[in-house]
Amino acid sequence: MNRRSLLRATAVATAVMLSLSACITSSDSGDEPETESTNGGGASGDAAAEITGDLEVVSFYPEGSPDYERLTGLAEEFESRNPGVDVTLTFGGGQDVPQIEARWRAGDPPDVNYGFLDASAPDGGPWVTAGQVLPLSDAMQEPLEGYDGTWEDAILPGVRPLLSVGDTIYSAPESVTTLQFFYNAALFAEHGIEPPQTFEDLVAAADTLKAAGVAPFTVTGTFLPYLQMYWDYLALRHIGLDGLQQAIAGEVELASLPGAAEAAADLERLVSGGYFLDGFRGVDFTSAQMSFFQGDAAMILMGSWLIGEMAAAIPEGFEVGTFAFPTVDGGSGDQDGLFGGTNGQIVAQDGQNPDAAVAWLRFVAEPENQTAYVENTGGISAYTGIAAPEGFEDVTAMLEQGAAFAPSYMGILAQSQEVQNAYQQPVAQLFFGEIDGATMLAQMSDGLQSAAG
Amino acid sequence: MPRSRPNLLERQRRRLVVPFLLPALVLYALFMLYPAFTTFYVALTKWDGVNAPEWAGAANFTRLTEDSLFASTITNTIVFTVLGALVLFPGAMFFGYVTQRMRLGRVYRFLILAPVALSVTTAALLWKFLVDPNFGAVQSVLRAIGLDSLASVELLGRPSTAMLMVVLATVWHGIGLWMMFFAAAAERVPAELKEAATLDGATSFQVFRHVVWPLMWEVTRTLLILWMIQGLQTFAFIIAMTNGGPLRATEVIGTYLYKVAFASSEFGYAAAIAVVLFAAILVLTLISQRLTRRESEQY
Repeated sequence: MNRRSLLRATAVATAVMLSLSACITSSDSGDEPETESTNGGGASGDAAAEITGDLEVVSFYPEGSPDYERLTGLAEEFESRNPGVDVTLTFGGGQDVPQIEARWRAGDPPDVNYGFLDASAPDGGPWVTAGQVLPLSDAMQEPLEGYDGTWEDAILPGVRPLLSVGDTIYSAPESVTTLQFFYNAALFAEHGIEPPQTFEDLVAAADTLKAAGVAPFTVTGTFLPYLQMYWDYLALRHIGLDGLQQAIAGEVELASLPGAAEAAADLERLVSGGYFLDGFRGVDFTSAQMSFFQGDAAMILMGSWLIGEMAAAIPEGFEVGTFAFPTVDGGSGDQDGLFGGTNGQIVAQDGQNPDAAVAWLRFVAEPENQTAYVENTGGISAYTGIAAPEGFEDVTAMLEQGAAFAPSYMGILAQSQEVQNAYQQPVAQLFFGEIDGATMLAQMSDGLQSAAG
Repeated sequence: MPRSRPNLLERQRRRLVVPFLLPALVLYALFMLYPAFTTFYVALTKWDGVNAPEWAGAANFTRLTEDSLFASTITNTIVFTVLGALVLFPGAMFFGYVTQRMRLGRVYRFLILAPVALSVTTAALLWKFLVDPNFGAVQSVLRAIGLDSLASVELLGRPSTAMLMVVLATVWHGIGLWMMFFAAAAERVPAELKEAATLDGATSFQVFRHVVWPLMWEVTRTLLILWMIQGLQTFAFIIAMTNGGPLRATEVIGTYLYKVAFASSEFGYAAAIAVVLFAAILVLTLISQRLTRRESEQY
């Protein structure tokens, strides 16, 4: 082998390394977390009038989407109130999340961001422990325009635990998201079906619809978290949240938990009943959602963002209803539990304009902006006194009373690939007809134990 | 024999080269060598991408040997690369040679080359929606011509067909470029050689097989190595079309690395995967060069 060949091969192979190197920056200096900060108090109250400079706000949805348009309107209003501020919206959802994270690592974060606080982690996750997320505790004790009391008081009690680590508040909620069934009200009425209250009701409704030639459910087979939701809910009802969380952490054996076998059997019953729209294994979530609004399937288990996300594709006059995932007879878990979370926004400690960022969060929380959000997107506000969209009144009432969500997708998406694989793949295999419920449970149980080491 | 010292003119010429090379060397060091060596370092640490890395020695590499998920991605990556080569090379060679002999060859070449202008994401989404079981054009056409049983196949939802679809999409997107390489190589073959073979009674296929093909070997060999590298690094089409599914049937090293790094925030482990991929490409490239080496034909 000559030297030229070796050099050529080395040069080519070196290029591969670039695939990972973009994420390696100077942020790993090992410095102590910067705990000294403005603590989010600088832009509160009267100080809001003094803010100036550029403000970069991350949008979860891309340019052209209804939510981006909403944010654009808010940005214009914010700029008119604060003539010295220039707001820039940056798309940072979906596949662009790594780009935003890379900017954080490079010390150039946008001012207002989604994510970066893992409320399910005891320490809030790596960004909080690294001192890169601005605490909002002080700002939260200031009065908030349009509400009685402080900013913290204005937030629905059930949402507050999702914003804090210990006693420190790091995040301000933009909205609440929940996972529940949406149904085609016209199809239900046509076939004399009432929104199911129990799992047996759900199966009976599915049988009625199937007999009438309507697919009861649509789901995507290409996005595992949405398949996983069925298992999550059945496990929540049969096993309960604590047991399931312990099993995911590898602290207990899932298969040995009371109700686990029943949850697996119920999921098998749904899959083997042939209730899902033909071809679901090969469709992505947009297609699955579209098939619901086209009337090809009567129900879809989906997040509360469904209406806002698909607004442009919903036929005029389409009547949609919602109902919570049904209860199960004899279940030893949580019959009222609801999976959900909050679209929490945080301020980057190293952002260019933290004062303006805090002022932005306060502005977004104002009653008229929250009301407009609900009316325009069908989403759920995280603030007190804001009317819930139709079909979500119970959710708001639950959060008003301080009841908390079960974390969406069981918080599995931030776990290691081993844990994700152990939890999600058996569910997918069951949906794909590769295994039965008992095997799914055994594989999941063994896999979680193995992943926990 | 002692080496003779370069004369003054030669020494000055060498000094003159340095400032011309320096910008390129600095850029190469900054954007190639530094990231590469940093990746090697990160592979030896446990790093969440935010807090300071902790030294882990060879732990990430040891973990790789026990990682069954990683093992399956190796198999899938090889399947993608081999399957892709089997579809791409005959196709590109065929179009490259045939369009050269057609009257409207350049027009056809342009049409075949056109998808290259699409971004990978656009091309991947196009294919994804073309084969969508609910709304896809492919399924609609199959149903329209009475092939309902074929139309009901979830092409991206079955482990047995998903990889083939990803390969077809990748090849469709890039085949124009490879066709141009082969066409250029075929054009370099002297016409008199082909004429001589034809006069001797060789068919078109025989002319290609015994005259044109051997003279294109050097190009084919280089393209094979390039495809192998591209195949081992494949990422974009898979992440956009299947995200590694169904049932991990299309999970390749690139997508697994991405998920380990950006979904699970295990950058040290992801860097170890990148290092192994680097080593694999290096070794396979060298082996391929040796195995495919032949006496080059002079013409």
